[in-house]
Amino acid sequence: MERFLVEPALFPRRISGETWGTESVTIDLAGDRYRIDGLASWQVASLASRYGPRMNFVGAAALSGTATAGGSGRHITSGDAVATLQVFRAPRSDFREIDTRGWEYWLDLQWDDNALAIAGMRLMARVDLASMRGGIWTCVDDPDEFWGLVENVLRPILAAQLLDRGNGLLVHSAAADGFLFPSTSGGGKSTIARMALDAGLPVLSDDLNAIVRREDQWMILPLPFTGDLLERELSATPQRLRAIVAIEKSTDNALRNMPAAAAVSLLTRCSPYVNQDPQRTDALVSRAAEIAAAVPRAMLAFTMGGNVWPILNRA
Amino acid sequence: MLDPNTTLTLDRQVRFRRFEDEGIVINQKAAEAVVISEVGTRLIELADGTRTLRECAALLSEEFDAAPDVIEQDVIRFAEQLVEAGIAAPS
Repeated sequence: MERFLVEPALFPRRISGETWGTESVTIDLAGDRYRIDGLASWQVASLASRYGPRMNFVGAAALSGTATAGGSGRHITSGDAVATLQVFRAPRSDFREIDTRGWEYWLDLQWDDNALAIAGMRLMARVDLASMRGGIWTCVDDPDEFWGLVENVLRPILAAQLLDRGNGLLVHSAAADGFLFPSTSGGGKSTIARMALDAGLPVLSDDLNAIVRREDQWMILPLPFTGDLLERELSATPQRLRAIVAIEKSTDNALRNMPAAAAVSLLTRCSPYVNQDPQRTDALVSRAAEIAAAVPRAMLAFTMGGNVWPILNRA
Repeated sequence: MLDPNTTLTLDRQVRFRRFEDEGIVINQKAAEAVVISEVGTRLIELADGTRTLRECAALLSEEFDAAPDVIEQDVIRFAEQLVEAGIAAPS
């Protein structure tokens, strides 16, 4: 917290403050709806520019000119949302100035008593994960920065929601043609996703994918969170999870079996946010084990530009 | 070097789970999940804070049909790695 906040001890303990406005929207992620209240019109427009048809306008926002800027403009009642966030003003003096030259963005997450506190650049957020109600405090008044700030809060909430209630898992991975390639940063997710696109295969995301059980099978659901690929390059159609594939760049294309423990370990390491919460470790490992037991597992060594899909399809 | 009469206890922030022949150790402090070999998995199961490393090695040498002195050296080396990684503590 000290990295981002002038007075960490003054981090908000209650979901209260002065909202930026009175408008509300919802954003659809992995089959659930996340509501954001207390928005000014320019903040609604900022979120609409990022989330487009995934966003719905609630109340005043549905009737204002903002609704035509993007999104479906469908009216939503508050009961539809699995989580509700309010956006509050915070004085600029609460936040440290950060020299971002050569800086890789990161967040400070603290899990405590089923609550999550987040500190980041010009950002404080607190979410009660039992009630799924939370607050975002910020001084950001730039539309181009605002949606990213909200996204930084939505991602860990989505991870907790999928694990706790959604019968699923948020996984750092590339997903293409039903194959899930979990990997941490720099592990080849975007490379394999690009190879899939070049082969004419549908790609969901090259960064974060939601794995969710639907009846008797595990599905990969599309999310708007991408790495190097553009969202318009990605498929919006859910894919049945065909296999979990660990990837390793190599000089040859080769496929071998991946033991269950390795698959569980990989999924656990690649489940961002919730893998930092000690209270969720057991649930996380159990969920990873459930997924690993349900589908084939493989380790793929691949060459840049090689065609790995025939090997994968034979597996 | 750890004494063969040392007992080993997993850190309270570490979770261990067996999957088929292998196990994984999750270090909650570092959000790490490490795959442990078949023998290492069995050692972690045996090292319950009451058995010494020597006693664990004796049981392992029976189960895996290996020379006790060789197994004991391997057990001590592996135990030292667990301690260095903050996964277990000697007692």
